[in-house]
Amino acid sequence: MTIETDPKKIQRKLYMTFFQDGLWDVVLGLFLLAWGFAILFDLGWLPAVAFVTFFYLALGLKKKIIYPRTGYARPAELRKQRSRVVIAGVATLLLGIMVFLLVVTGEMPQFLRDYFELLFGTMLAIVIGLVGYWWGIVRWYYYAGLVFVFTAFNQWLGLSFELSFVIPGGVILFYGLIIFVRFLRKYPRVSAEDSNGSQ
Amino acid sequence: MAANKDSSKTTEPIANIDRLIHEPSRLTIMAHLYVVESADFLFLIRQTGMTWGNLSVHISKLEAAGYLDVRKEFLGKKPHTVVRLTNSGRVAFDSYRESMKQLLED
Repeated sequence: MTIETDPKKIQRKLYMTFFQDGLWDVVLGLFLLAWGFAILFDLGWLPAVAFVTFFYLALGLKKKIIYPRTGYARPAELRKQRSRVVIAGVATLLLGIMVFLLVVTGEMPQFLRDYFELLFGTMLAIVIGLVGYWWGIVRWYYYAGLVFVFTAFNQWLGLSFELSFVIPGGVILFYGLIIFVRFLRKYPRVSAEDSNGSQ
Repeated sequence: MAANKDSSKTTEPIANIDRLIHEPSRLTIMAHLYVVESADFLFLIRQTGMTWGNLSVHISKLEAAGYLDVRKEFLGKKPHTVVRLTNSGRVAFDSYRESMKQLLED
């Protein structure tokens, strides 16, 4: 029996367990699909509404489905992690507002106009990659790569802009669901008496 | 006499080792609680691979030593046991790791 006592290694193992259920992958997939449909049907409000809805839905599912199976631990560095995510979110939002204003006022330089869709997809891919980096989930790097590749297809191979979100979104959603089903099989629900050890 | 002095020098770091923490199951529990603010019973079972009864016994021992704080609460109508490392538990774990490092390096 090997006993790991290095706090950093244990912490990393615990972070991995927080993401082993695939729920955040599903949220990301649905969010990208929402972007695709927003572009397709010209529904500018859809991504924001979808993000908030899926985010809270995932939190609810964590509470109802995941924690009764895995148990719950309050991470010691939650505040630090949250502040990082908030900083990334605010930075992305500001960047988005800036681009939006440039588009609305018509002040956008020609370069941005020509490569707008590629830059937008790249920005999104960077955010996905950063989330993967902060939380130590390697598969999110692949998701970031997928988003970037399909945005590049849009720019240089003429793939429609909405498909450059719908295809990676569909792939990520499908993979997230596979992880989720595997998780449910691996961790059956435990009764309340057992989960308290009958101390 | 000189031999005695040498042997006491060698055994000193071993004597400093907290036997309560040194037991593998309790060491695993302490190491997992060290990196979280608190954890429930089920979480510890999943992470350590221990059985309910085994975990319960070791947690009671660590609680009796003042290393753990065990709280029983209710989530709706369901009982829920939450365990956290106390400050003295944290200090004891730090000092255990330091002693082990010293012992292995010497």
